[in-house]
Amino acid sequence: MSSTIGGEDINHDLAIHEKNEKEKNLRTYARKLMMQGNKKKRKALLNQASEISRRKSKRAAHH
Amino acid sequence: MKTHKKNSLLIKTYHQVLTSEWSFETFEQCLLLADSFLNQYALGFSEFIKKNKNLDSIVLFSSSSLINFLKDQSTLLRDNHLPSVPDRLPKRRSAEKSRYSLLTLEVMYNLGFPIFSSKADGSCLEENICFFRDIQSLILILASEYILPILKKQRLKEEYDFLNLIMFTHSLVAWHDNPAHQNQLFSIIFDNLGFQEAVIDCLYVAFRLTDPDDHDYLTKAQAYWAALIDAEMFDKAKAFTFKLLRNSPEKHFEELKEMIELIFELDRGVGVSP
Repeated sequence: MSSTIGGEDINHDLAIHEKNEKEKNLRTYARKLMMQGNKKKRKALLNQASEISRRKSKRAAHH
Repeated sequence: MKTHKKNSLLIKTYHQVLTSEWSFETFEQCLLLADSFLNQYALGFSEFIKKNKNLDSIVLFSSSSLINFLKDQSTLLRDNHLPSVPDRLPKRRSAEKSRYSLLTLEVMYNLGFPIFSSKADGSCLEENICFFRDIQSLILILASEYILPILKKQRLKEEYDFLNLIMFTHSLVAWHDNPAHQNQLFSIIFDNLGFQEAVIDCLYVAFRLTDPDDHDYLTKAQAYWAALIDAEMFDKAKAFTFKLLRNSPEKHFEELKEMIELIFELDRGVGVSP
């Protein structure tokens, strides 16, 4: 997966081990909040987890 | 060499924004990132404001290209009760309201790019548009979290409506080739607009379009599952969780076990959610 910023092949996605750790922490925290309410906060945590973990746009993907 | 250094810095900032503990400052940092990225082509919001310093935001919000774009796109889904496109933007007299109005314009500029730009098709970004699109996605999520509630609280109705409309049209147009993420973004917008049934539908579609081996599979599953619980659809949430357990890779079993235990506790009334 890559982008070509400035004509160079540079990956802007996170490394897999970083994704694994961060998304799991956010999911766990969101589940913990389900026992305490705070719906807004846990929705935001899952949105962030999803954004971290999803595949980033590829070269072929244009507007 | 300088370009390489600049690009590495932009990616580093993107990673910081993506993974830090989100706050209003993260939202502002993300807008700065978009500005730095586009200013490589002299197309950032700060350049746009410099070029239009004699115009106030009322004129900028009322540009015919923006209004026509929003009207064209929003008619596609008129049944979803999206806000109508405001005819004009009232003059904001207080400094605080003017600040939020301008911040809204900056979000709209970036999500609508290149509507406001003289280079109308954005082709100047070439392949780099994929990196910018991921920055736009972050802007949409952060704006939904940090600026929309302020606009609502400050009763900046026109800005609030404009922002929801540009978020919707951006998701519709920019993410048509990634329907899983498109539905994820729709779920955020419909949540802002209070359409809970649509939120559940979009989260389900986003989940179904995600491969079990993809990183975001369990996150999307949990988002749908939590939305069912919020709607007090406990039986459906339980059935979903058991089905998920049967179809998921083993690496997810530990978290799925937690989800099963949690839903039974919540259904028994332990805890305060929903």
